[in-house]
Amino acid sequence: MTQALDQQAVQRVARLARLRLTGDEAAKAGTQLQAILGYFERLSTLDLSGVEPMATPIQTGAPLAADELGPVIDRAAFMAMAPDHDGVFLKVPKVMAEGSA
Amino acid sequence: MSGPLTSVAMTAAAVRGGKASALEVARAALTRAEALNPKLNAFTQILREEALAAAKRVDDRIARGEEAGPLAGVPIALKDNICTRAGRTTCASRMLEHYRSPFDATVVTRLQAAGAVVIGKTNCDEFAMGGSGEHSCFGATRNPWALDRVPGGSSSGSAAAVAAGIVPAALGSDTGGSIRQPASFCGITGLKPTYGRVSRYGLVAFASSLDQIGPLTRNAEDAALILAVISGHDPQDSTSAPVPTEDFAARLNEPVEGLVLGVPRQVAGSANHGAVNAALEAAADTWRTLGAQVVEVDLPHIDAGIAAYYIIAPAEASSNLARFDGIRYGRRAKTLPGEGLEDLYARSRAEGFGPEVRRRIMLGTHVLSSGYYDAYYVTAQKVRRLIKQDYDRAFAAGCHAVLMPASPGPAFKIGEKINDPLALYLEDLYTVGVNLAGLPGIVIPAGMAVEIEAGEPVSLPVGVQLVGPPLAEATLLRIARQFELATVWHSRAASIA
Repeated sequence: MTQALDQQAVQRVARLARLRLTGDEAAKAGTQLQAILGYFERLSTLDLSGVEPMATPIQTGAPLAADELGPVIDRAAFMAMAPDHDGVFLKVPKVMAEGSA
Repeated sequence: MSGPLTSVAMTAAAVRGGKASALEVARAALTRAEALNPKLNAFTQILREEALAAAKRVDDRIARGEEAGPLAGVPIALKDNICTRAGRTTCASRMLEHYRSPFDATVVTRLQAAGAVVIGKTNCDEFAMGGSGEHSCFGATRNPWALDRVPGGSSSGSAAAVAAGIVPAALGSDTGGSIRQPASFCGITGLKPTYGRVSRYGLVAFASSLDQIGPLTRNAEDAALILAVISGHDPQDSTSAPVPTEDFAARLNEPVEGLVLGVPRQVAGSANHGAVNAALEAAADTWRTLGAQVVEVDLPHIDAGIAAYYIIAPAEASSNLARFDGIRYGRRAKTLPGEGLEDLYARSRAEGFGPEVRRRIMLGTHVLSSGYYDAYYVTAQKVRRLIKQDYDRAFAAGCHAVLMPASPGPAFKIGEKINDPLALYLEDLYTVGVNLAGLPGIVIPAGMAVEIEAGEPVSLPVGVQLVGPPLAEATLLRIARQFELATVWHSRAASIA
């Protein structure tokens, strides 16, 4: 189940998780994650043949909400939640390089 | 009105009966919170103005002869991952340090409608990830019984505030034991309701198939009163069970004669602290004396629960916390000239999340990643099914509740396990399976551990846990209440002043 979590693997996971790690942080994360993944090995000794995966403990059904307009958050309150805005628009960094179409 | 506030029922009765005003009670709670918080670090914010205004509204209702609600004037504290329009909702994270929610969580709306007065938001492990209360951007919460020890987590501040008599009740959230383990460490009552019993609308999501909000109180009756107010279907949460709330206090005083409690045979083989085993045995004896039958049950996958939980919960967390990227939600790192979007995401998240949250996001990302998904995630989901089936079998065989420890030991020292995440995860042996199976669980005070420190004895509370079938909270509360009537543990209080 587990494979060695070398620094390359740690940086790959960090990239997938959108986290930037310093060299020291990556080294520490590698050691700790390895210990935790090693602990998970015990699951491979269980006989799981024929067992259906269980995603949720809901047993009573999940009723759908009525398709009606609910309360609407006013613009100022919504804007205030954003990390950056100019009062009318949410501000985000450029996502396209200069000159691209 | 001075001194600790310890009873929801008595406070509400005093306010409703005109023996105390809500304003008087709120002032007492706020004064105690402000006096003790420098020692405990239990609150991220004390909401003085908002609390006094809310208390005045309750008094006005009473003065006009209107119904003031079952929790009239009861001061309450809320874990800081529950959204409130008042103050900030930080999740004890730099990522949400300045976040103001534009809406109240359903539990908050229901508490306020019942007359409760929110006095503050409580400290916790960041995004509810942790079992010690140490992983907070506001610093560690301290245990009122011994200030150099952890109060447990992640609902650390909620447990400490109730144990210190600041409020008679607080709300926490429990994803893998985050209400029950701190209740055990702080000598109070903590109830994790059945998955779906309480609306999660407005609870900042950690692991959506496991999270559940519940009360921390000094006794079972108070837990019943709070649960009756916060439970019930909520159209805003599609996972909330379509079942009405109940009068959970109605049958508290019925005897436990004829009820069957099952103790898992696996408990005896586990490396528990001596005081944990002693409390469990003494509790079983007490219930036997009260007429209940105590039998052995088999939960063969109890041990596998930790591994399954620490795959499933981080997997869900990595997905839930993806939204905090500094663009859509959360703290944005200072933009550097020429920096690409991916870099900004990664820097914002690295700056905003603390070490435990980063660790769990990475763990969750790894177990869901291509090539590992089946080996980890699907395997854990199958183990989840086995754990659920173990409990189903115990209940089908006639058990009304499973009786087991809350935690393998009493509160440990602050800093003792902070550098060994796996050691901290192993503390969750008795709690995580209950979340995986979606069952209700209650922890009640049942004994004391005495540790010798520098030649001096230090007394630390120890709880026991009762786990029931889905929606059996009333039975659990009744078993707990009958235990309280026969013992003194729930009336022991930390001597902090």
